[in-house]
Amino acid sequence: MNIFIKLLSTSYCYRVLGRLVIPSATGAVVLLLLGLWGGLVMAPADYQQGDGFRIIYVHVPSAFLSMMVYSAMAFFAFLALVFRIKLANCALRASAPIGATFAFLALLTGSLWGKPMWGTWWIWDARLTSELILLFLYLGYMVLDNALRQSGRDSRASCMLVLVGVINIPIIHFSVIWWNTLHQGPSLSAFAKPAIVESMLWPLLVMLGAYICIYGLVLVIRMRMEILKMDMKSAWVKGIL
Amino acid sequence: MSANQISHVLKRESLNLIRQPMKVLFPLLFFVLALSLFPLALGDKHNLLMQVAPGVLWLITLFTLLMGLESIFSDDLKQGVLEQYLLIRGSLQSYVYVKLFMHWFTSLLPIIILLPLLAQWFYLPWIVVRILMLTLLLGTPVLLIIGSVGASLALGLGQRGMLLALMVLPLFIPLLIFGNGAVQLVLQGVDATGPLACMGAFFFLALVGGPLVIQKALRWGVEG
Repeated sequence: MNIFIKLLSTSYCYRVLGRLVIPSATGAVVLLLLGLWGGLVMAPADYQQGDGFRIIYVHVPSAFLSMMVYSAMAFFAFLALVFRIKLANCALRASAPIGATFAFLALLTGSLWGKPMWGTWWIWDARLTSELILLFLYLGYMVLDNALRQSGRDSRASCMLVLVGVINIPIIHFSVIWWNTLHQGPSLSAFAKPAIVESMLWPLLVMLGAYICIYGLVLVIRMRMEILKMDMKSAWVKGIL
Repeated sequence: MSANQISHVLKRESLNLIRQPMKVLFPLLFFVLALSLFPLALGDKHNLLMQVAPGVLWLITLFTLLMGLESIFSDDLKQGVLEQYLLIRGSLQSYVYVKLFMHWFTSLLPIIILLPLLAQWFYLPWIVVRILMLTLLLGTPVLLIIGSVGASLALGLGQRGMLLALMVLPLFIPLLIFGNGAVQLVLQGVDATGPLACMGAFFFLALVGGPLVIQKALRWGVEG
């Protein structure tokens, strides 16, 4: 319990986060190299898609992380709103652009893969649509938080928006699926759960780990910056700078 | 939330409306004008207009609502009304419910009532108009509540119009899908109870949860 109470102090938290930079960076680089080597060199080409399938090693982790980061943000928003933990707010603020980037990357890589495989850059498939809406939700939070900050208000309102969004995500997801089946969408769900061979699977899992490390690394760096911004006028920040 | 408090807010809102009848007229005029642009842009093609009409009507309703939301709470904040209610009663519960109802009654209900007339521009048959009105009756209160959540969270911030649109449009999507889905089903001659029931569920969910969030956010807005 003691360590948790200590972590609530901004200066202590800043130092602890500083110590996490090197390990998470190392983890990210090692796992990334291993995963890319496994995915691009070791894994056999797909019998149908050839080498084109290899984009899965950047696409799936991005899509997964885009959802994971939003869940993390909901958790941070809850902490910030209910327990008034300012550091949770720093983590929330730091996470949003990262999550938005992952959502954008998922859409971009999916689109690049879709052109040769499906013959189109974009299709109103349920998964693509929900990912797009997720990106919009990230942007909505960032816009509101930015406006709040500029007018000198505290960020309770933007925390609330994240929580409202998290209630809406399942509703949006299922309504999009319903909408898609109504229109008799093309059966692209083979993409959803490919019965994937082990030699193709392990690099994917390693890449997933690498992406989580990247999220951790960028989160730690951005959070340190947010903490400095928040405590700009305090003595310990002036001491560091 | 006593009857006394409700009638007080109701009286104030009604007086406001009688003295500013433009508040009722503007959304309605915007709706009619925006709607008339579609046949002009798409051309007077009977089948095409009939096909796009449900979606277009839903979208224009949505944008009319969005434009009205900008000022739903901000005038009361500027004039200190919110502050007075908070000081005297300690809660905004009755204010929020009455405000939402009155806003719906004056700026959204007229649109729905006018719908059978305007639907003639798109050559819609009565059976489609009927289901359209039903989905709008169920859907507009939910849109209003979701939009008001956004408006209360962005209370007192600059550039509210764009900000509000970016915040709440993604949350409008389920309503849009189910509302249009019901109309499409009826167009194909299929029973549309399913999506209508879903919209009913959204309605009650929003009615229970929305005002709680709005009250909280308005309080934060007053605190500044």
